[in-house]
Amino acid sequence: MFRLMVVEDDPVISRKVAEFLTLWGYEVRCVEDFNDIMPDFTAFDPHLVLLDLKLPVLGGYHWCREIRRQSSVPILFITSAGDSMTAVTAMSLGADDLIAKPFDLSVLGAKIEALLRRAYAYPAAPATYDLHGIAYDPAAGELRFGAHTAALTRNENRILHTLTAHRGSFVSREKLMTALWETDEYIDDNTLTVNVLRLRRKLGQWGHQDIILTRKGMGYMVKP
Amino acid sequence: MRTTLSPHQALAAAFRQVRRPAALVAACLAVFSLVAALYGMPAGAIGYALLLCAALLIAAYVMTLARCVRQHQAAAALLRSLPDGLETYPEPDSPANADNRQLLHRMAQLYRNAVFQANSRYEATTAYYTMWSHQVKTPLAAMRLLLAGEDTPLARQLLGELFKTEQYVDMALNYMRLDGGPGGFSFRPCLLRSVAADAARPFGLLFAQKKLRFAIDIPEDISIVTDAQWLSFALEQLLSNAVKYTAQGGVTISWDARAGELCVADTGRGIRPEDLPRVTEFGFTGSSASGDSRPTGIGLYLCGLTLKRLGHTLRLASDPGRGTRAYIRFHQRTLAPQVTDL
Repeated sequence: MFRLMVVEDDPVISRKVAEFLTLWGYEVRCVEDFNDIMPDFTAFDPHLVLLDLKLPVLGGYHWCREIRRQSSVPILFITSAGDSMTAVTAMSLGADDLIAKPFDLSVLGAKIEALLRRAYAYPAAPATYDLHGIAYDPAAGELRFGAHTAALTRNENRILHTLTAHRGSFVSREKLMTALWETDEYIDDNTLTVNVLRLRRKLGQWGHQDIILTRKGMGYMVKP
Repeated sequence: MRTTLSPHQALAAAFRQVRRPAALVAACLAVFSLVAALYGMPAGAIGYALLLCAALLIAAYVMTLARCVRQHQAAAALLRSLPDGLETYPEPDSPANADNRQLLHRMAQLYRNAVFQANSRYEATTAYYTMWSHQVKTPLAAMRLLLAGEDTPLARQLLGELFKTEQYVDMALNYMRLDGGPGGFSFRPCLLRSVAADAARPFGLLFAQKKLRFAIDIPEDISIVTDAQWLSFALEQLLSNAVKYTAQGGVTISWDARAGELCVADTGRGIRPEDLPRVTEFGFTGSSASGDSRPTGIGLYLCGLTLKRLGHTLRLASDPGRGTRAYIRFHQRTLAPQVTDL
């Protein structure tokens, strides 16, 4: 399990980021004493450090330099200034990437995953989900049932992936559309309906008509 | 203020200045000659004396003229170089000139103090608002994270409002960066399609809420030299306006290969022809402003200014009631590589 250290002085951001990353299967520790973060760093020995640029005692740049003195661990900067000057300074001090406030947790998750993969060269886990006997492989964009397979289009795959990630709770149409936008798939209301319809048909061809549930005003849900 | 005189006019003015003393001297000489003639002095002696006096006077006269013209030229040069160059002003040759010179120096000092004070006040204000914009981003980020886990109508509405707030903060921050003068840009070849996608990404919820279509129609391989972050910021202003004033239909970002232009087109209410030339002015809110979709008069101003600084141009066209099209031209030329023989 990867250990992530969060160095962020805003308690809400720190807590929410920690909650989210724990949910993603990381072991997370948030720094509480900003006078000296190095004892925490040495004790926890993280695989990646999330470092806020503005910290109460000494800034993020300082701690970045300090960490670099003894470790080449990936450092991801959190900053309120997303301009190129900040990026250049951060990179020259040895930061690996930078995320600008305000950010989406999914973007943060993707950046962390990419950094960890680059630094520790591990293969992406081929996660498949079991949807009532149908195997769903989001990486390949396929549904498998026994010897049969059905390919999903990019949009169908993204919709099903989002629904599967929130399995058991309803996901609103707006949230689905926003999730698709984040991957540069600009679908409108009608296209979403059509896509969900086609997805149902693909899931239904092996006798499962009701894997995706609809509730008016609530959105869609993959049956738990 | 009076404009600078030509050398010819300056000479004429100098003539006028020495006219009265010259006339006085001439009158005195006439009195002497007349009295001497009446006392029976020989005409030759009077003539000789007059000739010597005239030679002396003309020499003095020419010197005075030359000094007047020189002084004028120095003043004209100073006028061009103000507020600097006061030290090059010629030494005073009369008490009146000395007074004037002292006044000038005092005025210059007061002026410099005033400018310095205004500058430092402006810098403090800018520094404060820049810091404030960064400060406010932390609670905004916290709000976004708190809302991320909620998928309720209220949370979605709040996310929409939060997005607008974030945009206003970015606009303020970029306004101050643009005001800071040139610099701060980082130009490199960028894929236009991905810049457009970056600009569009945060608008998902807004489009979903208004049930508007959106499309990017730019070939993958179109590359332009620009600062991707700033171009994206300019595009965000156009998208923000497009989605704000479009009730149904949608927005398209497309590339016109023949004209070499990027086009952001919407099917919104459009801009009145009389407002069209003025919408990129600071604070222009138009004649049709009403309701909650009032323009702030900042977005298009910042968009136009940003594009100008990037060396691109913005052109707007609109059919009221049917939509608006914003064209961005990049003015790019491919320079042939230069081969130098060593």
